[in-house]
Amino acid sequence: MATVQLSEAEKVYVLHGIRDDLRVDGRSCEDYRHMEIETDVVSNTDGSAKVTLGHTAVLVGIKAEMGKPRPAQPAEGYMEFFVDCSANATPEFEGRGGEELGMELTNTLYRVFNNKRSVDLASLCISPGEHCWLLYVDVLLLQCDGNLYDGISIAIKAALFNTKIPKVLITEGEDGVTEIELSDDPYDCVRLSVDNVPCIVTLCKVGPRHVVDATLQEKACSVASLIMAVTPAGTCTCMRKVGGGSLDPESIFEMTEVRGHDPGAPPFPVCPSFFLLPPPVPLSSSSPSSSSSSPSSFFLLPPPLALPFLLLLLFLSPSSSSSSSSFLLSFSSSSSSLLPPPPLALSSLLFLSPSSSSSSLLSPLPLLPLSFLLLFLSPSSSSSSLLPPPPLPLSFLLLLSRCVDI
Amino acid sequence: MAGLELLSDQGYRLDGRKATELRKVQARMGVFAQADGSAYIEQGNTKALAVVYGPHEMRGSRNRTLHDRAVINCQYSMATFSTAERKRRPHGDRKSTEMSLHLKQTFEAAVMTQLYPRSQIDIYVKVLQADGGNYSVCVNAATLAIIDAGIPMRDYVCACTVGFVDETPLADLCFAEESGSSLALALLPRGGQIALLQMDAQLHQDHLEALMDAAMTACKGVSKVLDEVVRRHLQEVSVLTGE
Repeated sequence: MATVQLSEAEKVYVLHGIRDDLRVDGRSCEDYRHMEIETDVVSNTDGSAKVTLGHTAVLVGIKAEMGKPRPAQPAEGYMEFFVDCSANATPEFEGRGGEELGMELTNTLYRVFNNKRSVDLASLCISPGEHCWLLYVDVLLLQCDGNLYDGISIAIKAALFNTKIPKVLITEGEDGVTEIELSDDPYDCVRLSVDNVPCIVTLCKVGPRHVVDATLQEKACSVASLIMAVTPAGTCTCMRKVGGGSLDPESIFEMTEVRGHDPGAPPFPVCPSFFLLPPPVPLSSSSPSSSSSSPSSFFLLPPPLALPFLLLLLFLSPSSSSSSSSFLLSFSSSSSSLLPPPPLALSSLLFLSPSSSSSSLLSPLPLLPLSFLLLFLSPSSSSSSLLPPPPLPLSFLLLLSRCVDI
Repeated sequence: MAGLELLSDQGYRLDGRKATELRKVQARMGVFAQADGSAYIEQGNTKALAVVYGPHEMRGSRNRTLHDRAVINCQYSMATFSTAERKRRPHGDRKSTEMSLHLKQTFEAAVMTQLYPRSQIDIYVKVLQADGGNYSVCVNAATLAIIDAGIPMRDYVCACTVGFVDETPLADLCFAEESGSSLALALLPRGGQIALLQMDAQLHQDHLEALMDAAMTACKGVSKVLDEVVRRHLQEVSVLTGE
């Protein structure tokens, strides 16, 4: 990852500024930098877009090729992602230097976009089981100044919006052989629906507060950050904690409720209603009942993904295993027992939406979980010294216990 | 050349140019703020981006350090979506490595490396869209980026790819024309010095001189365009800084 070196004094300056809701470049904590989106920039591709977000610049090119559908989803096309961390962005990426970051970004993109809830993969199918379109989504980092995830997701959405897939005609030959005919007219093409394509919002925890669209400087001061992919309908397709530090659960709720407490506020500054794309709806809109401080808006899932189907895996570090596990057991038996909850800090979080791999992995289970959440909890001693984590909120534990019950 | 008439009887090429005509060149300097120098160039449908970092301290292994001049470090890469057929890897393949080496040699001839002993200059070029003359376009972009970085050079390095069809040399080839014989030439136009010469084709010796002449003329044409770009950029910058 492209990083900058900051002195202690600079860090303190950035931290104090953020505490007072004034960042180094004059923004408040929930402001995005100036964003420019340009589409149709590379004519060799079927769809392309360039996004600049402050000094971060991302170019995305999409090429459609004909291929064979995956056996598991015969009636769907699929997408291939590749992130090229080129040396142009920073000399650290020269040679193989950018591969690690590239792989991390690529894997996240697969989770976020490559499912039928995000992209209408069924429309990429030409003839089930035989032919489909596969979209090569190639991301090129031109310049890095923090907040790569958001920039990339916006660029991908814009490029998908710009993608023109040639129309094909399927004719059945005399001897039962299907023939595929490509239209001669280059303007005779299909456009993808981008209504449900998610955008990623990265929330960076800096000191006691969190900021959106962090620059590299701010990222250097932050403990950890949370990335969330949200579709305009309010579905969360991916959620991940990234970075070396740890977050406490309460701050995650706070982060997910950015703008959620003020229904009159404009939607997320991200995707600022750019061109014809519908702006994403703020998180809380899909569950108006959660407008109080209840952290249940954390699980903003559409009905099929609702809470009872959540599978929860808890990994407790060995040092606290005895006390915590007993605490857990007692919780599953009687959810109202008031054992003193041990202070816990979230050190890693991974929320996955269903994809081919996860569902096949878990299919032998009696209750097929439609999505699952991985939580790695560690005792508070290992969490950051900047913020003493408060005890785990009771409502969250109730939530956990309900999950454990199923 | 099966079926494709590269030069019509009236002397026009596929895209309507005359034999010695260059493609339209559009360039911009200082496109990125983080790099020391950067430039973006469009030559017809070929688009390239060049970024220069340095001169700075040697990075990585110090045993490459030269005590009397700067080391020039180049990386040539192509975006995976730049070509008609999708590329699997942006760099590291044989052709890109060869191109990187050529770029390094070209700029070692032009940059006044002796002014920066024990240091390193990084030149990274990226082809965003490929439509013939990739190498030449990258050299032109890199020249602008080096000027933007303020690194002294002996002269502009101007490059052009020329081909030979029907006894006629064609300047600044596009992709369709490049499949025949082609010669890439990088020139320091003021002294007429050749920084790089590469021909991958079979050509009769008698034609070579005509081809070289055409290449030199084309490079001088490119140098005029680049000079204009630099002057315009400087004018804009000086207006902005109020000098």
